[in-house]
Amino acid sequence: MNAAASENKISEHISNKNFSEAFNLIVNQYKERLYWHIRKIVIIHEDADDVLQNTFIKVWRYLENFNQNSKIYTWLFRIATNEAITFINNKKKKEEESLGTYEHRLSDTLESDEYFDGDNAQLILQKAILKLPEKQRIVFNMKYFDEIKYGEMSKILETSTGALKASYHHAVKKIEKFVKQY
Amino acid sequence: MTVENLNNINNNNAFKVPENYFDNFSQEIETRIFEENIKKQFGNKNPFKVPENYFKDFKSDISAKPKSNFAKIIRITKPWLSAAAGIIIIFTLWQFLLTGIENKNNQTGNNDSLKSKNNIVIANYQPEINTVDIKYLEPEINAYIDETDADQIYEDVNEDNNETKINSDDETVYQYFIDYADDNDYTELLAEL
Repeated sequence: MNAAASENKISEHISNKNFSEAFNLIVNQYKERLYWHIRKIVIIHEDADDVLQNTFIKVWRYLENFNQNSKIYTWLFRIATNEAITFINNKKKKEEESLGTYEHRLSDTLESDEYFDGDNAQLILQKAILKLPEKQRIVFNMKYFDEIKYGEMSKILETSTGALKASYHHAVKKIEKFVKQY
Repeated sequence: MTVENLNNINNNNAFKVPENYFDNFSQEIETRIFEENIKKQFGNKNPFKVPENYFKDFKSDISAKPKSNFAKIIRITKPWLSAAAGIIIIFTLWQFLLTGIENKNNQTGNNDSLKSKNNIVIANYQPEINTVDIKYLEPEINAYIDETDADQIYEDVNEDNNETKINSDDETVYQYFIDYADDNDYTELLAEL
């Protein structure tokens, strides 16, 4: 089933109050895309798995309140992004880490992470991305890796396209500067 | 056509551009150049991978997660938390039987893999309670209930707080848990686990 057909089917299930069917379809259709979106934010697989589960729990909980004027895709990505940010903030708070320390640790973890499949160049790029402020990091990942259009991103992150373009501009500029050292 | 006429055409054409389009144009070009440089050097391939069959085995049944979380909760929190949660489950089931609140899953047939009747009942009663988290506790709590005398549960909760917080009256049990949810960020606690 293609994305549009799938969205239509999900909307139909929600309209008919077939929430279980809608939910199962959502999980099957979006689990991978949401996972990769989350994974790029939280980096570690186990954390991504936790956040993905939390995301679907929220989806299930609020499915009956879903506003059919929005796209399912946008709504799901918004929940996933918020869950990932909340997860990171909680981890930082729990570990009482100062700003940037958490990202620094993640950066070190990457080298020994069995689920990191990148070569040395990709490792350098990921380390550069982890040096970005959180919002810029999310915008960079969405645009650079997933090629999500600013219009769509604007709905997901609830930020104006102008601000997103500025964030992406700062992000690529910083990354380019960082990687020039290598 | 005179040059003057051509100028008029340029200034009064029927096309429009987004606001600030020309102001931001140079920045966008610069962004593209930086982006192309990065892509040329590093590509934009996803460098992460997942355990074998992760997506294949990923269950849409959200009750798959609870056990591990529950184990962690029990490990780091006071015993009365489990007792309080257990009591609310009893109360919830009782309410479910009594009120026969509409279950949205019933409208969809009986092939529901989520088994979330209890959640819906609680949600209808008091939305601010973290209903899914309670659902997490369910299998273990049921085991706890099976193994523990009801009076003992009430006693455990009261003893832990050095005062009579609850009794066998369901209303006070319910209120107790509401107060607990108000005083403690249960969502945050779970997120931190």
